[in-house]
Amino acid sequence: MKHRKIYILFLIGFVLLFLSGCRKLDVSDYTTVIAMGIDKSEKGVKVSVQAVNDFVLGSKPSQSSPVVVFAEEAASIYEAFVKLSNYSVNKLYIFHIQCLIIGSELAQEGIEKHIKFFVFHWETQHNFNIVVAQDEKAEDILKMRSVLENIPAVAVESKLENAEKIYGMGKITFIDEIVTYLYQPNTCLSLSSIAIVGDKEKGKDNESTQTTDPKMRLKVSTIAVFKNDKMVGWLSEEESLGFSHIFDKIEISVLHIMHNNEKLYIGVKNTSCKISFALINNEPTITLKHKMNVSVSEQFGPNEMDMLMEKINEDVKRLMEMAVDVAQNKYNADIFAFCEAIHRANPKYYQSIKENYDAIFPTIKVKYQFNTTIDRTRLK
Amino acid sequence: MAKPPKKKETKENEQHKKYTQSNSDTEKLVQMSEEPEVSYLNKPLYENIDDTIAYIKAIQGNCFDLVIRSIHLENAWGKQRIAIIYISGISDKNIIDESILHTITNNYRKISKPLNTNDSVFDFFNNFIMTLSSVRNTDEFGELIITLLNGDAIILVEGSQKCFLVDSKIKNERAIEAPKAQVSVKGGNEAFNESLSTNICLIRRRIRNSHFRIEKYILGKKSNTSVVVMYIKGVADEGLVEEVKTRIEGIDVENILDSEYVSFYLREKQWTMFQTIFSTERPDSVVASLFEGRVAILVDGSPFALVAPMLFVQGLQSLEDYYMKGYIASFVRFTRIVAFFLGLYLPAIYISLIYFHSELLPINLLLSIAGQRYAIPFPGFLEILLIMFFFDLLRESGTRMPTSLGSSLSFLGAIIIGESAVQAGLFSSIIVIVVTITAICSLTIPDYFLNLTLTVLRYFFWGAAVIGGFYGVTLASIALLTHLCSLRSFGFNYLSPYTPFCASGMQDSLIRTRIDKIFRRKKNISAEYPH
Repeated sequence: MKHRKIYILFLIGFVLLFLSGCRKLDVSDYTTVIAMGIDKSEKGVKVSVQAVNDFVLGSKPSQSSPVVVFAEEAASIYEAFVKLSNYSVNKLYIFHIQCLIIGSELAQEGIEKHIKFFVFHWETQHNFNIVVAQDEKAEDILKMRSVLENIPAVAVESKLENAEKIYGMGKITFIDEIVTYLYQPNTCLSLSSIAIVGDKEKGKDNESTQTTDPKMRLKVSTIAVFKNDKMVGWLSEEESLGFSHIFDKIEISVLHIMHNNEKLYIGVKNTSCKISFALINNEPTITLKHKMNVSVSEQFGPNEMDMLMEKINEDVKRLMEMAVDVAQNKYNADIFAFCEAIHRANPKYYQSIKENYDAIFPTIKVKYQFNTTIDRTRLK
Repeated sequence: MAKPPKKKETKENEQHKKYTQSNSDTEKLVQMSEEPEVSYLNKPLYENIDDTIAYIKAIQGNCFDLVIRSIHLENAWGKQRIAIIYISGISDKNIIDESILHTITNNYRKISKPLNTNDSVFDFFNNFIMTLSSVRNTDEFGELIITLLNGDAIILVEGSQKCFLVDSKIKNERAIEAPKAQVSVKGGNEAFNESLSTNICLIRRRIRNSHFRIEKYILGKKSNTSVVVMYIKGVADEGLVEEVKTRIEGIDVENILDSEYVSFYLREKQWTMFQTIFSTERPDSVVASLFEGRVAILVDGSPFALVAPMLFVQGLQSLEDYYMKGYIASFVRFTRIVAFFLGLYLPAIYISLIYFHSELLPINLLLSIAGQRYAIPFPGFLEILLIMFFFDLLRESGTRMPTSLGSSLSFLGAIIIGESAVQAGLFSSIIVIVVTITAICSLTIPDYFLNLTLTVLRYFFWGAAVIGGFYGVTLASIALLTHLCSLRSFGFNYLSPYTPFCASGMQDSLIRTRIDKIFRRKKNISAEYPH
């Protein structure tokens, strides 16, 4: 062929056309929406956005606030979002949102129809955190300033990440996970929550960032439990810890044991937990195989080790049992995704219980196995 | 090269007529000099000295530096008239006076027997009088004139149709200095200068091998420049050597000032910005290439030697790579390759990111860029174009300006770009950083020409990015790769050893393995990279 090269080049270029997501949108031509909140409202939904003020981040530091919050009510999120343009100087671009905050009232009402916007809208990505505002409106959370991070939404995101790894209160949830949990029968969603500690009104002001002791702080709070798409309640702090142990996200945490009438703390790291299922005597039984390294704060003799280990395991077991108990009996919500373990291990059995899983879930027996290693039993 | 346009030729003839007419002695020669380049080439000398001198004058015109001195030699047996002709600026007067004329007059005076009547005057002079080592003779005006213009002295002898050509070139060349364009820390630090004989000497000093071949050509119809082809017989592929020779013989050009003129006529007739004949000012680099089976071409008056064939990887290699340990050399080479790609792509990537694909940026980086771009009056693509162009201006002025102004230029450049432009809010500091990194990257390229090519291509990629973001950059990259794949240097694929892939060539491309392995492999470039 005479013009083979040209044809091949053309072909490659043509194929590439379909691969590109090329759209001219200069960084300085839009306003970055860094966080979004949705709240219950009379008209339907109230959308609030936290938009970044680029000017503050530039080379000339300024006194004005790094973010500004706009809010608008409408029947749907999209409508409200489009109407928000009335407030903004530039196009509001929501690709970069770092977290979505759901007001607790709206969460109790059901989140499915609202979450769809973030799944289907063409300008969103799928890796932002979703949290519930504990007993607050999402809009209020967005309006709070932060000190260590200039941009509050980035601070919220970092707090969640930190709290998930250390201690075990937070839980990072992306939208695809929510979709999986919402549309998969029998699994129940659980979301991290964020709470305001202190004075709400003072948190909005610049002064709150100019002191070592702000009157308001945002704090990662306990886990919110959902049944279907509606929030049904909260776990307590200890239950949240137990939940995180089962959910296998903790990197560093802490336990307490009583030893010689003295409360000792135990440092925990490298935890892991595997969920397995077996039918034992025709009773569905979940086995949680928990593994961790602990370091103790005092010197123990070699004959005390077994006793110590037992006590430590007991404390973990207590936390995990509390979490399982509240999920099974109080909320009847399978937030640990036990049903998936059942499905994997025994698909036939799962098919038989699939329809009335709500009745089966509270009766599932949970066994605990521990594999704990004690590091650093001596003085260094 | 085609024939020169007719208009030009007639104009030259007119000029020629002007100055020949002014010389009344040589009026009869005016007709002969209608085509001055050709007419005298094979013309034999006259037996009469005066006729020869007149003819030389006619050819040379009334050049003031043409020295013609006729001398009467005398001894007990008779008289002999000779004439010495040279050009005063390029011939060494001391050599002519003290060694040539001294030798001739002394020899003639002290000769113990008369001229044998059976012998010709020429033989008598050749055998007994011209007792100098570098003496040639000729009986044609063509060779005479070229030798004269080379700075040699011509000695005409009355009654002989042949003349003597005695070496008396003046040695007023630049000293051998350190390389300017291809600097290295380790290894020999000599660079070529403008003298062909010195350059050959620099190479010969490194190759003590009887298979080393040097062949001389005279190129340029008007400049008569010496061009030398060098190779090592048995190492260089014979086909390659023949090809080089054929191409050199085919060169039809008026004048040659630099080796790049030759390079233009030697290379494949392909449209390209890339250098397909390597040019280097380092003798050790030339020698290394010769031992790899390449062919080197030296041009008189140019401190840059040509080496053919050239592969793309050569542009990213430095001879110094072979003077250090393989791991270190590989790392250094790796940095250079990274620098090459950064130097090519960084502005384009920046434009694509802030213009089309800001979603790809991590949020903190995005906010930082957005914060800096906030009050900038220019759109991003124009901003980077201006800074890129300003840097190229700086670089070009740095190359051209007198060295005494260097400090003031760098001061101005640093203050204007680095400080004031950013502080005035005309440009964002990130863009200055991007362009500076790009510039630093492109300066790491060892080959000066590749560096310049990179500079031009950077604008090409910038354009592609402005039009189509990463999509455009990808298309432009494909176009560039296709182009590079199509290039040939004396039949060798320019991109080898990558395409066509050659496993053994990999030992000395991206990384440099042990030097003994490379030596074992590098017997002949032709054997290694089949064309």
